[in-house]
Amino acid sequence: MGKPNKRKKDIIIDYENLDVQDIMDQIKKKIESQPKKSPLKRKVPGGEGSFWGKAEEMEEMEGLKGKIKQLLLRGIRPFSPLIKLLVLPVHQEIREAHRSLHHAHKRLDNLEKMNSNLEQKIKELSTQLNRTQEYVKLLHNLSHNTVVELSKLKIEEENIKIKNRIMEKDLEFLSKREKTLEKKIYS
Amino acid sequence: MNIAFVIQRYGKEVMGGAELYCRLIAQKLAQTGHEITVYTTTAKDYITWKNEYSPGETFLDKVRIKRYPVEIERNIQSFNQYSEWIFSHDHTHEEEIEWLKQQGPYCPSLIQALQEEEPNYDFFFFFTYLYYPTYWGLRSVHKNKALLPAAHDEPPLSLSVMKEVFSYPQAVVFNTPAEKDMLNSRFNLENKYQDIMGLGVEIPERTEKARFREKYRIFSPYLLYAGRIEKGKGCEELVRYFIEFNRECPGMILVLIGTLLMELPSHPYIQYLGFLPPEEKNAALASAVVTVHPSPYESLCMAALESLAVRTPILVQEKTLPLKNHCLQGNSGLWYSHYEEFRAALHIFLQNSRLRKKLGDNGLDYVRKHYAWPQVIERYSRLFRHLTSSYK
Repeated sequence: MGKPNKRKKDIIIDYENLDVQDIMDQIKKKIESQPKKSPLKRKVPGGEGSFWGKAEEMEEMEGLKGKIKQLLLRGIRPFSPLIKLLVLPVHQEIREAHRSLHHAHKRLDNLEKMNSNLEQKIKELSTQLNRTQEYVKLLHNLSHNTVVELSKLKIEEENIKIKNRIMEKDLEFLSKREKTLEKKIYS
Repeated sequence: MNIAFVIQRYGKEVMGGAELYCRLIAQKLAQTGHEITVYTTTAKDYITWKNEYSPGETFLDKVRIKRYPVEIERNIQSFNQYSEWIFSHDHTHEEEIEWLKQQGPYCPSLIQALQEEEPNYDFFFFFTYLYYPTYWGLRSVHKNKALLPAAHDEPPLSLSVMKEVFSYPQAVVFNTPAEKDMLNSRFNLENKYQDIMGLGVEIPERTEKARFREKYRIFSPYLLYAGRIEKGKGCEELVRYFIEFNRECPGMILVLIGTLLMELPSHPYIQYLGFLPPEEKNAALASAVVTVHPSPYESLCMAALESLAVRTPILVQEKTLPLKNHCLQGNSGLWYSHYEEFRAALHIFLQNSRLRKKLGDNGLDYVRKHYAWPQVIERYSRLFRHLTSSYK
């Protein structure tokens, strides 16, 4: 038999012989025993029935006892914010606020992570873009130079062709001269 | 065996509880060697019964589907007015027949086809008691018939035509014991074959919980609702309770998945994720603190069983007996009837991981014991044997 485990103040759960009906009965009893209050309504500090409300009543008390209490209350009035902090359920509210802030922080952390990831990706992409732009520029220069070189080569080719033709004519003239000279020598 | 199923809507896109149930059963029976033909309408939307599928014959997962067009689309406002009147006034039998016609889907050609093609089948199986094809189909067919009513305790059960509906079939089968008790207390079903069939639930071997949380950026503990998100399913009340709970105890998120049919308030702790594929749905169910089932009318609740199948406990409406029975019989969840109980139960779930684990383990055992496919198919085989042996 497992030891019954006391979860909250009054809900007892026997894990070895778990019985949801029993848990629900305990929940119902607990709710019935609690004073009914609207969950939206919260006690206003200093309101009816509070410490400070009672203090006001006490001030009105007559007699020596009343006067002494009046004097004491006046004495502690400067410390009222500190007393309020300790006595009123500020701690609970701070805890709730802290919990929601913690949750918000978690979400913000995740967003920051996502943001840093995005920034990293943007950097990588812009580096790639710059590199590609440089490549394009180089290719443009290369093609320009190729065109210039090809034009030069074409001109060169034309020159060589002309030179070749002149040389052919020279050769033809020389051979004619050779023949003429040979004729003169042998005749 | 040649079996004819009759249902108001059928198709992969149709997501109603009874319709999904019918499709899964038809598929499983077809896989075990039965020849299943589904007689249905061309409607996809249960509010208007608008013709969206093409009429004629098609096949889906070895199941033959014969679709017939709906002749009158439903005007939901005038139908609701007529329903309100008929449930609160004395009326005649003819007026109830007119109510059935308005309820729809009004499809006389489907009834005619059932009459003409009756000799081709060993018996007929009707799904849901509430609609026009069930009433007129049960009246028109003379061979043995079974009915799976998928009924909740609701006003139409008090109509006199429903006595006829429950008198025609030779077998009436149910989703849960609560449904069986409720219908036996209302109708005389003594001489009929009765059984609680249930439905098989697939138990996933593993779920991608971390991937799901990463994909949808959900890192807080959350309460999950899965199903049609509409007023009739108790979602309005759920959202109200959750906002109140969140005000008192912030940090938990309400995640909703399924088809959205109502407006959701813009709230930082309420997230609607849309319609998820099965793997993601299982992961969502598995990584929730608890799944909530606020519907006041349920006859089985697949989402609750799917949640238990992935070891997530359930939180249900107390007045919905089939759901409460899942909790009680399986020792697998808690229930609520008002906000104070909702809050108390959620507090216990949030604070007590040992209880959550214990309830989840119990839930999986419960699903394995009562909602495993081989057992469900065996129950259907028993029913078929009875129907074929008792005819003539």
